[in-house]
Amino acid sequence: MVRYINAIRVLLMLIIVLAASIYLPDFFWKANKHENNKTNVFYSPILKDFVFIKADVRQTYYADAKGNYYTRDEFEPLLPFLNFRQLMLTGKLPESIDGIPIRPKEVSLNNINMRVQPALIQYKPLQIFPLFESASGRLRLELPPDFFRIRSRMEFITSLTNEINEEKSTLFTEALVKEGFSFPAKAIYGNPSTKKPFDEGYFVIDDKGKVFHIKMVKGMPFCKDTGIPTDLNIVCMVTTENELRESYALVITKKNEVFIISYDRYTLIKVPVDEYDYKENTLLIKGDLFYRVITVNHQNGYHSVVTDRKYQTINRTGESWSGSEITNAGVIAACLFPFTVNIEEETTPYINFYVHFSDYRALFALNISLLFAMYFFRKKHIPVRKAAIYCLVVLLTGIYGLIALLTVKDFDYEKRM
Amino acid sequence: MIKALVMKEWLKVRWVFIGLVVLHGAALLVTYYDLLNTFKIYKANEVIIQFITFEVVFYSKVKYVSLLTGLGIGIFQFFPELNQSRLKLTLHLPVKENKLIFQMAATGAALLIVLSVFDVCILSLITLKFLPREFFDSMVTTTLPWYLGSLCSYFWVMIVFIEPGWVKRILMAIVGIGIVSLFFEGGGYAMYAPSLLYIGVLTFLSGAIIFLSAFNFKRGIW
Repeated sequence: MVRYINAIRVLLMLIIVLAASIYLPDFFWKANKHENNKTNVFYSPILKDFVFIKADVRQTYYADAKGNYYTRDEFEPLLPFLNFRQLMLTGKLPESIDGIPIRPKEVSLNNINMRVQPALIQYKPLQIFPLFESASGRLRLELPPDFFRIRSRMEFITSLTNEINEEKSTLFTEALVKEGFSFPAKAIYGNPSTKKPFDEGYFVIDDKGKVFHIKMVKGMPFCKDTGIPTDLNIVCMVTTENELRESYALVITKKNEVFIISYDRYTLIKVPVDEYDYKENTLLIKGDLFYRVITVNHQNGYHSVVTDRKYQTINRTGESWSGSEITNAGVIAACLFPFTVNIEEETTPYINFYVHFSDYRALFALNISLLFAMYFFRKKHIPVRKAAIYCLVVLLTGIYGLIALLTVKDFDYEKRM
Repeated sequence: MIKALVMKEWLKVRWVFIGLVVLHGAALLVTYYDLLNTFKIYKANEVIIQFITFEVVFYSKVKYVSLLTGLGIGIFQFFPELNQSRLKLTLHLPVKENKLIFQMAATGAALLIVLSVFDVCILSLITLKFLPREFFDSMVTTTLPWYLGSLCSYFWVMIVFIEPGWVKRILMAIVGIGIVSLFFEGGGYAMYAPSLLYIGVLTFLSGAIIFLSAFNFKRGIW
């Protein structure tokens, strides 16, 4: 019985360690919130160099790559595509840049913005989607009366009756089979919203890893094998339905490569990215009439590449700054907490036990905690043999283990009995 | 003896259990009528796209009712034991204390499982009546942590009540609140999908701590 009780006592200590490792660091960082710096990277067609908008809670700074600082009014003309409306208002929009005439409508059309966050990549929505009519002849997209799923076949479920629309399901399933689709679908990517200028349907990865483009045109199925290599190991596709009609989607692979599926026969164009990890970093692609700026945002810095419109690298830049780890609070946290458990993280939409270990500095608190634990057992005259397992818990978990030890504390019951 | 003990536990909590059945029934009925009325006011496809886009948990009432159930059964089962010092007598019966405690915990846990199964069955009927099967799948994954949380909260109430010392009781209550809170975070569909196994293990391990509290209680360790 006593042996089981000792095991349960260790178990209770471990549960307290878990609770402490979640809540103590959380409280600590609530009281020592680190200020966030933000840097937006752009490429100036005037300077032919990177320019930055840096912001903290006090002020916004406008700078170029050479370290010159600008006022807002001086800075805006350096990015005439981004600020074309303001420059039109003040009469400062240039008539041409590098001999190319600047027409507001064209500038607006070519300004694109894409953002891919790690949480979006890891998020798995409900696997039913509306298939919009892509060529309705109407100005706005309309929500269809049914939703589709692709399991052993492509099925349409009528929303009102919650029943399968057999006729439509058979029509689309046959079209997919004809194109060589292998059921079930491994992944379906699209933008199930009516708030987009037009519809390009969905990109669906079949059971063999082939990527198909599926949409509905005048009530009939449009299914096409895109020919995208099956060994690409795609982790996410972000559809990019904008009026420019330059690309269907952004493709992110397991190897942290980024591609664009072009409108030209689904040709893949590799997007140059520096130090990108899709599980951790946010990817931003900003485009204008001349350039594409691809930025990978890290927790404490960024890497940017500027390319021409064919994604050929022109220049790259990057910066990193010290994060919370070098602040006083960061040093204390690193010494005090050997590890931290978060149940929610920015990089994922799911709740789990995400463990982050500290570095060698945690040895400080681990050793001090162990000394306290040994003193505790010595004072209670508990033999080392009996205290060893509890000391081991404290040695491995530091301050959390010590809290658990002081909470459990009834180690000397045998003497009291 | 065992049969008599189960009967004793049932007699203690029967009215609470019946009250909780009514509460669960009412929560499910409100959920049903809310959904029915939503489908009467808005077009079905608009409702479904809103549910998909914003991950509307239309059965969220079950979350709070589940937590209340775990706490309620725990309190009503163990408060009389402590208040009238019955547990001391029970633990001196000619049956192993672990067996007795297991019997008590199992009775409460069984009642919680019955209520959870009742919820799942009724929610399944409601979900499958109005919505595609995918919503049913996600409903099961979304509500499972709540039922486990209900069980876990019951175990921690039991631990807190059985602990003989007030200081330890307060400390256990703090730990219990921290652990039980882990089951009720987030607001979307199937947010616990990657961690269901871990929280299942955490529930099971929390149940084991009851034996330590009983051990402390019988020996007056505090």
